Amino acid sequence: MYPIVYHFKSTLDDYREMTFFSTFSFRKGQNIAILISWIAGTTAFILDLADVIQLTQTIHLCALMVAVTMPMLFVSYLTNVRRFKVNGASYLKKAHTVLLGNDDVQYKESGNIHTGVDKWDDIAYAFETDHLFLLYRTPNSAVLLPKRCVTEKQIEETRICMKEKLGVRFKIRCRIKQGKTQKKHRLNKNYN
Amino acid sequence: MYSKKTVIANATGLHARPASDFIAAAGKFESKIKITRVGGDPEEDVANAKSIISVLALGLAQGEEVELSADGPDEQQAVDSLVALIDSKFGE
Repeated sequence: MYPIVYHFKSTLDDYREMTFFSTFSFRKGQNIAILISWIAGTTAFILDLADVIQLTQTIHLCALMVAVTMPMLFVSYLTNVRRFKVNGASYLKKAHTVLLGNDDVQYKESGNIHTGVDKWDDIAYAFETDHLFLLYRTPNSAVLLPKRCVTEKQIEETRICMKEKLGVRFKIRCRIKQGKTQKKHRLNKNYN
Repeated sequence: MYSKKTVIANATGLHARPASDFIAAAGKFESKIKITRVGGDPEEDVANAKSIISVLALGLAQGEEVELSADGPDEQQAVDSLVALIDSKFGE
Protein backbone atom coordinates (compact mmCIF):
# COMPACT_ATOMS: atom_id res chain seq x y z
CA MET A 1 0.00 0.00 0.00
CA TYR A 2 2.82 2.44 0.90
CA PRO A 3 3.83 4.94 -0.28
CA ILE A 4 0.60 6.71 -1.25
CA VAL A 5 1.44 9.57 -3.56
CA TYR A 6 -0.47 12.82 -4.14
CA HIS A 7 0.87 14.89 -7.02
CA PHE A 8 -1.27 17.95 -7.65
CA LYS A 9 -1.75 21.66 -8.17
CA SER A 10 -4.06 23.32 -5.67
CA THR A 11 -7.05 25.34 -6.81
CA LEU A 12 -8.92 28.20 -5.21
CA ASP A 13 -11.82 25.81 -4.56
CA ASP A 14 -9.48 23.56 -2.52
CA TYR A 15 -8.40 26.54 -0.43
CA ARG A 16 -12.01 27.69 -0.06
CA GLU A 17 -13.13 24.26 1.19
CA MET A 18 -10.19 24.04 3.60
CA THR A 19 -10.79 27.54 4.99
CA PHE A 20 -14.54 26.92 5.34
CA PHE A 21 -13.79 23.69 7.19
CA SER A 22 -11.18 25.34 9.46
CA THR A 23 -13.55 28.20 10.28
CA PHE A 24 -16.82 26.36 10.82
CA SER A 25 -16.27 22.64 11.19
CA PHE A 26 -12.91 22.12 12.88
CA ARG A 27 -14.47 21.54 16.29
CA LYS A 28 -17.93 20.24 15.57
CA GLY A 29 -19.25 20.35 19.16
CA GLN A 30 -18.02 23.90 19.68
CA ASN A 31 -19.62 25.09 16.46
CA ILE A 32 -22.97 23.48 17.27
CA ALA A 33 -22.88 25.30 20.62
CA ILE A 34 -22.03 28.59 18.82
CA LEU A 35 -24.86 28.02 16.33
CA ILE A 36 -27.44 27.35 19.07
CA SER A 37 -26.25 30.39 21.07
CA TRP A 38 -26.36 32.48 17.91
CA ILE A 39 -29.94 31.48 17.10
CA ALA A 40 -31.02 32.11 20.71
CA GLY A 41 -29.10 35.41 20.97
CA THR A 42 -30.30 36.74 17.62
CA THR A 43 -33.92 35.76 18.34
CA ALA A 44 -33.79 37.46 21.75
CA PHE A 45 -32.18 40.56 20.26
CA ILE A 46 -34.79 40.85 17.48
CA LEU A 47 -37.72 40.19 19.82
CA ASP A 48 -36.36 42.86 22.16
CA LEU A 49 -36.04 45.34 19.29
CA ALA A 50 -39.63 44.56 18.25
CA ASP A 51 -40.78 45.10 21.88
CA VAL A 52 -42.18 41.57 22.08
CA ILE A 53 -39.97 40.85 25.10
CA GLN A 54 -38.02 43.18 27.34
CA LEU A 55 -34.41 42.48 28.16
CA THR A 56 -32.24 44.38 30.64
CA GLN A 57 -29.51 46.50 29.10
CA THR A 58 -26.80 44.00 30.03
CA ILE A 59 -28.63 41.00 28.53
CA HIS A 60 -29.48 43.10 25.45
CA LEU A 61 -25.77 43.82 24.99
CA CYS A 62 -24.89 40.12 25.47
CA ALA A 63 -27.53 39.10 22.92
CA LEU A 64 -26.10 41.65 20.47
CA MET A 65 -22.59 40.25 20.94
CA VAL A 66 -23.78 36.70 20.39
CA ALA A 67 -25.77 37.79 17.33
CA VAL A 68 -22.66 39.14 15.60
CA THR A 69 -20.52 35.99 16.22
CA MET A 70 -21.62 33.98 13.19
CA PRO A 71 -21.51 36.87 10.71
CA MET A 72 -18.04 37.71 12.03
CA LEU A 73 -16.85 34.14 11.47
CA PHE A 74 -18.26 34.28 7.95
CA VAL A 75 -16.55 37.62 7.27
CA SER A 76 -13.26 36.16 8.56
CA TYR A 77 -13.69 33.20 6.17
CA LEU A 78 -14.36 35.53 3.21
CA THR A 79 -11.41 37.74 4.17
CA ASN A 80 -9.04 34.76 4.30
CA VAL A 81 -10.18 33.54 0.87
CA ARG A 82 -9.87 37.03 -0.58
CA ARG A 83 -6.38 37.44 0.90
CA PHE A 84 -5.35 34.12 -0.62
CA LYS A 85 -6.75 35.18 -4.02
CA VAL A 86 -4.44 38.22 -3.94
CA ASN A 87 -1.31 36.66 -2.41
CA GLY A 88 -1.60 32.99 -3.30
CA ALA A 89 -1.16 33.13 -7.08
CA SER A 90 2.38 31.74 -6.96
CA TYR A 91 1.26 28.93 -4.63
CA LEU A 92 -1.47 27.89 -7.08
CA LYS A 93 1.04 27.67 -9.95
CA LYS A 94 3.30 25.22 -8.14
CA ALA A 95 3.00 21.46 -8.31
CA HIS A 96 2.94 19.75 -4.94
CA THR A 97 3.95 16.21 -4.13
CA VAL A 98 2.92 14.64 -0.84
CA LEU A 99 3.95 11.15 0.03
CA LEU A 100 2.20 9.22 2.79
CA GLY A 101 4.76 6.67 3.89
CA ASN A 102 4.86 4.00 6.53
CA ASP A 103 6.92 6.14 8.92
CA ASP A 104 6.29 9.72 7.88
CA VAL A 105 4.68 12.24 5.55
CA GLN A 106 6.99 13.93 3.03
CA TYR A 107 6.35 17.14 1.09
CA LYS A 108 7.90 18.68 -1.99
CA GLU A 109 7.00 21.78 -3.95
CA SER A 110 8.11 22.35 -7.54
CA GLY A 111 10.89 24.92 -7.81
CA ASN A 112 11.98 24.31 -4.22
CA ILE A 113 14.92 22.00 -3.69
CA HIS A 114 14.03 21.49 -0.03
CA THR A 115 11.72 18.74 1.08
CA GLY A 116 9.69 18.58 4.26
CA VAL A 117 9.14 15.61 6.52
CA ASP A 118 6.72 15.09 9.40
CA LYS A 119 6.54 11.99 11.52
CA TRP A 120 2.99 10.67 11.89
CA ASP A 121 3.16 11.58 15.59
CA ASP A 122 3.65 15.24 14.59
CA ILE A 123 0.28 15.34 12.81
CA ALA A 124 -2.20 16.72 15.32
CA TYR A 125 -5.44 15.93 13.48
CA ALA A 126 -6.62 14.80 10.07
CA PHE A 127 -10.03 15.16 8.52
CA GLU A 128 -11.71 13.89 5.41
CA THR A 129 -14.12 16.30 3.75
CA ASP A 130 -16.11 15.93 0.52
CA HIS A 131 -13.17 16.70 -1.76
CA LEU A 132 -10.10 16.79 0.47
CA PHE A 133 -8.01 15.12 3.12
CA LEU A 134 -6.68 17.72 5.56
CA LEU A 135 -3.62 17.08 7.71
CA TYR A 136 -3.24 19.59 10.55
CA ARG A 137 0.15 20.04 12.13
CA THR A 138 -1.26 22.88 14.25
CA PRO A 139 -4.81 24.29 14.28
CA ASN A 140 -3.57 27.02 11.90
CA SER A 141 -1.39 25.00 9.56
CA ALA A 142 -2.85 22.31 7.34
CA VAL A 143 -1.72 20.31 4.34
CA LEU A 144 -4.47 19.62 1.86
CA LEU A 145 -4.66 16.52 -0.30
CA PRO A 146 -7.23 16.81 -3.09
CA LYS A 147 -9.14 13.59 -3.76
CA ARG A 148 -9.53 14.53 -7.43
CA CYS A 149 -5.86 13.76 -8.14
CA VAL A 150 -6.02 10.11 -7.06
CA THR A 151 -8.11 7.06 -7.85
CA GLU A 152 -10.98 5.69 -5.74
CA LYS A 153 -8.66 2.88 -4.63
CA GLN A 154 -6.04 5.36 -3.41
CA ILE A 155 -8.70 7.31 -1.51
CA GLU A 156 -9.67 4.12 0.28
CA GLU A 157 -5.98 3.38 0.97
CA THR A 158 -5.50 6.90 2.36
CA ARG A 159 -8.46 6.38 4.69
CA ILE A 160 -7.00 3.07 5.92
CA CYS A 161 -3.57 4.68 6.33
CA MET A 162 -4.96 7.61 8.38
CA LYS A 163 -6.98 5.29 10.62
CA GLU A 164 -3.92 3.13 11.17
CA LYS A 165 -1.44 5.96 11.81
CA LEU A 166 -3.63 8.53 13.58
CA GLY A 167 -6.40 6.49 15.18
CA VAL A 168 -8.93 8.80 16.85
CA ARG A 169 -7.08 11.85 15.55
CA PHE A 170 -8.53 11.10 12.09
CA LYS A 171 -12.16 12.03 11.59
CA ILE A 172 -14.39 11.64 8.58
CA ARG A 173 -16.61 14.67 7.99
CA CYS A 174 -18.34 13.62 4.79
CA ARG A 175 -20.46 10.84 3.40
CA ILE A 176 -18.27 8.04 2.11
CA LYS A 177 -19.20 6.48 -1.19
CA GLN A 178 -19.40 2.76 -0.65
CA GLY A 179 -16.63 1.12 -2.68
CA LYS A 180 -17.25 -1.81 -4.99
CA THR A 181 -15.25 -4.16 -2.74
CA GLN A 182 -17.26 -3.14 0.34
CA LYS A 183 -20.54 -3.63 -1.57
CA LYS A 184 -19.37 -7.01 -2.77
CA HIS A 185 -18.36 -7.97 0.76
CA ARG A 186 -21.77 -6.95 2.12
CA LEU A 187 -23.58 -8.86 -0.66
CA ASN A 188 -21.56 -11.98 0.09
CA LYS A 189 -22.28 -11.60 3.80
CA ASN A 190 -26.02 -11.34 3.14
CA TYR A 191 -25.89 -14.27 0.76
CA ASN A 192 -24.11 -16.50 3.29
CA MET B 1 31.07 12.14 -13.51
CA TYR B 2 29.34 9.55 -15.66
CA SER B 3 25.92 9.95 -17.31
CA LYS B 4 23.56 8.13 -19.63
CA LYS B 5 20.17 8.80 -21.19
CA THR B 6 17.19 6.48 -21.38
CA VAL B 7 13.43 6.58 -21.89
CA ILE B 8 10.83 5.67 -19.25
CA ALA B 9 9.28 2.57 -20.76
CA ASN B 10 6.76 1.24 -18.23
CA ALA B 11 3.11 2.20 -18.64
CA THR B 12 2.58 3.90 -15.27
CA GLY B 13 5.75 5.98 -15.48
CA LEU B 14 7.95 6.45 -12.43
CA HIS B 15 5.09 6.20 -9.96
CA ALA B 16 4.98 4.94 -6.36
CA ARG B 17 6.07 1.32 -6.72
CA PRO B 18 8.64 1.75 -9.53
CA ALA B 19 10.00 4.83 -7.73
CA SER B 20 10.42 2.80 -4.52
CA ASP B 21 12.36 0.14 -6.47
CA PHE B 22 14.38 2.87 -8.16
CA ILE B 23 15.49 4.60 -4.96
CA ALA B 24 16.18 1.27 -3.28
CA ALA B 25 18.51 0.42 -6.18
CA ALA B 26 20.12 3.90 -6.10
CA GLY B 27 20.66 3.62 -2.34
CA LYS B 28 23.02 0.68 -2.82
CA PHE B 29 25.65 2.95 -4.39
CA GLU B 30 27.97 5.40 -2.70
CA SER B 31 28.01 7.91 -5.57
CA LYS B 32 25.77 10.97 -5.68
CA ILE B 33 23.15 10.19 -8.32
CA LYS B 34 20.87 12.62 -10.13
CA ILE B 35 17.97 12.01 -12.45
CA THR B 36 17.06 14.80 -14.89
CA ARG B 37 14.14 15.19 -17.28
CA VAL B 38 15.71 15.82 -20.71
CA GLY B 39 14.44 19.08 -22.18
CA GLY B 40 12.97 20.20 -18.85
CA ASP B 41 13.80 23.13 -16.63
CA PRO B 42 17.45 22.70 -15.56
CA GLU B 43 16.61 23.80 -12.00
CA GLU B 44 13.17 22.25 -11.46
CA ASP B 45 13.44 19.00 -13.37
CA VAL B 46 16.40 17.54 -11.52
CA ALA B 47 16.10 15.17 -8.58
CA ASN B 48 18.29 13.36 -6.13
CA ALA B 49 17.86 9.73 -7.19
CA LYS B 50 18.08 8.58 -3.56
CA SER B 51 15.12 10.67 -2.39
CA ILE B 52 11.73 9.14 -3.18
CA ILE B 53 9.86 12.42 -2.77
CA SER B 54 12.22 14.21 -5.19
CA VAL B 55 11.90 11.43 -7.76
CA LEU B 56 8.10 11.33 -7.44
CA ALA B 57 7.91 15.12 -7.68
CA LEU B 58 9.35 14.89 -11.20
CA GLY B 59 6.15 13.07 -12.20
CA LEU B 60 7.90 11.14 -14.95
CA ALA B 61 5.52 9.51 -17.40
CA GLN B 62 5.91 6.81 -20.02
CA GLY B 63 7.91 7.95 -23.05
CA GLU B 64 9.78 10.75 -21.27
CA GLU B 65 13.52 10.87 -21.74
CA VAL B 66 15.69 11.10 -18.63
CA GLU B 67 19.37 11.47 -17.98
CA LEU B 68 21.01 9.68 -15.10
CA SER B 69 24.29 11.06 -13.85
CA ALA B 70 26.47 9.94 -10.99
CA ASP B 71 29.55 11.25 -9.31
CA GLY B 72 31.62 9.03 -7.03
CA PRO B 73 33.63 5.84 -6.73
CA ASP B 74 31.00 3.55 -8.28
CA GLU B 75 29.47 6.07 -10.72
CA GLN B 76 29.53 3.92 -13.86
CA GLN B 77 28.13 0.86 -12.12
CA ALA B 78 25.37 3.00 -10.52
CA VAL B 79 24.23 4.63 -13.76
CA ASP B 80 24.37 1.40 -15.79
CA SER B 81 22.44 -0.49 -13.14
CA LEU B 82 19.69 2.19 -12.87
CA VAL B 83 19.38 2.51 -16.65
CA ALA B 84 19.00 -1.27 -16.86
CA LEU B 85 16.29 -1.11 -14.17
CA ILE B 86 14.35 1.55 -16.11
CA ASP B 87 14.77 -0.39 -19.36
CA SER B 88 13.45 -3.54 -17.65
CA LYS B 89 10.14 -1.64 -17.08
CA PHE B 90 10.43 -2.44 -13.37
CA GLY B 91 9.05 -5.89 -13.98
CA GLU B 92 5.67 -4.65 -15.27
